[in-house]
Amino acid sequence: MLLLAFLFSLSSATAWAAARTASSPSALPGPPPGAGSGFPVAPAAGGMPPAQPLGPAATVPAHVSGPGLLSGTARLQGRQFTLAIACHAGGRVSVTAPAIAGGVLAHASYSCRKGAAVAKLKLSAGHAGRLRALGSTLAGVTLGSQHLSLTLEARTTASSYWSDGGLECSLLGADEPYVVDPNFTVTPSVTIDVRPWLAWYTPANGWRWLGTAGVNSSRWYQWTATTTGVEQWVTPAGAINPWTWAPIQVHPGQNTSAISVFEVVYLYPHPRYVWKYGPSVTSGTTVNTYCSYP
Amino acid sequence: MSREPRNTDVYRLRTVCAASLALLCALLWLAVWAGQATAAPSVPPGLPGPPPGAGSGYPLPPAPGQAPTAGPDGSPTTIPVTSSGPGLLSGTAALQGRRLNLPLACSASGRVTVSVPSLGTLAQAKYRCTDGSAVAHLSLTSAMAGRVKGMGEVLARLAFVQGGAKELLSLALGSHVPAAGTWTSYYGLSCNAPASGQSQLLAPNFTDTPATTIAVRPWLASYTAATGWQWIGTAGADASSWYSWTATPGGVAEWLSPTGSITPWSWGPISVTPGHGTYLIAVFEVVYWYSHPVYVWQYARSGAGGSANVTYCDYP
Repeated sequence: MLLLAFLFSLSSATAWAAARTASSPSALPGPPPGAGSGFPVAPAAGGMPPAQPLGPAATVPAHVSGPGLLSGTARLQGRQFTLAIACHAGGRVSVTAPAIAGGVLAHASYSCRKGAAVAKLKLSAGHAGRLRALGSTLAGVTLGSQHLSLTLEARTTASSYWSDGGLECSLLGADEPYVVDPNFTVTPSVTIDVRPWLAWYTPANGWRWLGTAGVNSSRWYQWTATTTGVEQWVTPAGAINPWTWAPIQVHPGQNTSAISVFEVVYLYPHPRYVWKYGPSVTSGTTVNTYCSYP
Repeated sequence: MSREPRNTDVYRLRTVCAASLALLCALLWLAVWAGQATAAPSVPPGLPGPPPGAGSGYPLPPAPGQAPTAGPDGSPTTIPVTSSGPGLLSGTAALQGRRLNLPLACSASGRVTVSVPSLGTLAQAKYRCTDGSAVAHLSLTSAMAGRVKGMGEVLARLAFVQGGAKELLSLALGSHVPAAGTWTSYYGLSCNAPASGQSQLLAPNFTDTPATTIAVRPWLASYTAATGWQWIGTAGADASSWYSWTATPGGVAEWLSPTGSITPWSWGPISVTPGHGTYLIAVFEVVYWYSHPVYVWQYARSGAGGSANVTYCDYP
């Protein structure tokens, strides 16, 4: 049994090492760091959201340290699940999921081979049963010194995308994407908090996160979503100028892929939290999963 | 954004031909064409195509919810009679198999590199300038030619090095000669206005549904047999500025007065030195800042007076 487990682990690591040599990611980045937490305080009664700043000029870091996830989704098989990791050395990983139980639910060590590793983790029977009942949940991952997020699922679920906004891959320049907020609509009108992210992937580093406050850190922006879109984005002449985050520079020559993610809190009497990917627009109306920067 | 064919005399004649005696008209058309060719040997062989840096150098997206800030009108300008670099005789071209031939007006021999941002360098070649003209013969790899043809039409960048000087131009390149679009607005380039030997440019009254913030970059292209097509923008030779307005279903919101009159952005007077056989046409690049922006470049109408439209203004 131990030998079988070792062989499985080795073959998985080899498969991820092979995938790592490909320039495009084999899986999506999943939820951003701190997903579903760190919400801002609710707006004052009857108050309008204050003016919001534009996204600052930013550069995707050319070099990052520490391990990174190769996929932001892990699926339960029996009571086990695996995490594919881009790495430079072995280490430890632990997983939490507040919707299942408090504290660490699973932890494991991993060995790094050829820049990739697979960490095998196991839930208790009770926690696995709870996850099956939920279908999927947001999980926290401590990987080295990083605190990341993960979708932990009992069965495969389709990724969700906002219908507009997203990442403009190269309008401003060949290696210069920018982020456009989706024009959030809702009935009746409510105040919303939006936290934008750019996830970028390189074969050597896996998925990494850039927010408007830096690596692994983004800020919330408050708007009013109405039935026709965000109220504050309508100009006096009736045009819609959405919030943008530009320019963002990508270092060429690193086989970088990028995708946008937006977290939204709809501030109903009982607030509702949603995160989804933004579409990636390569040219005109051509939409891809990612923007690619060879 | 809709397009229509340019309303030249030849175009009108061809339309009449379709409805009447075809053979007689064909002979008449040939006679007119031959007459034009004989009487005006320095007519541009083609239109100027896209302006320098077309499809690049955009401004940042507009700020959320903010109205555009009106930019100044274009300053009085004089079209230069000389050029420091080569000029294309036509700014549109078709691949002939893997080959691309670019006729040039030049003052010295040089080298040209053709590239497309999404494809990289397509080809490069030296050209030899003889009696003020040259043809750059370029050859693409089969794979690159196939990719260009697969894309239908691309905006190519031409990097010239001629006599120590560098110049960047643009070219609309395709498997067939790309069709030229013209802004349908009544406004455009008024020939011989406000005085003889001058032009006045009024920006097209851009419309869009729903209303959208637009960024607009105006250009003038001038042609003489000696210089080929040369570009001048509101920031000088080969350089122009972006202006921001709101295109609505009824036109540009910022140009509409409370009484309903329209005062479009203008550039003029544009003075042309007589005696050089100069042709003048205007081009506008526009970025429609939708959620997913759209870029368009098209020629503006040229008018010789009244409602007449010509391809370009000419100044003998």
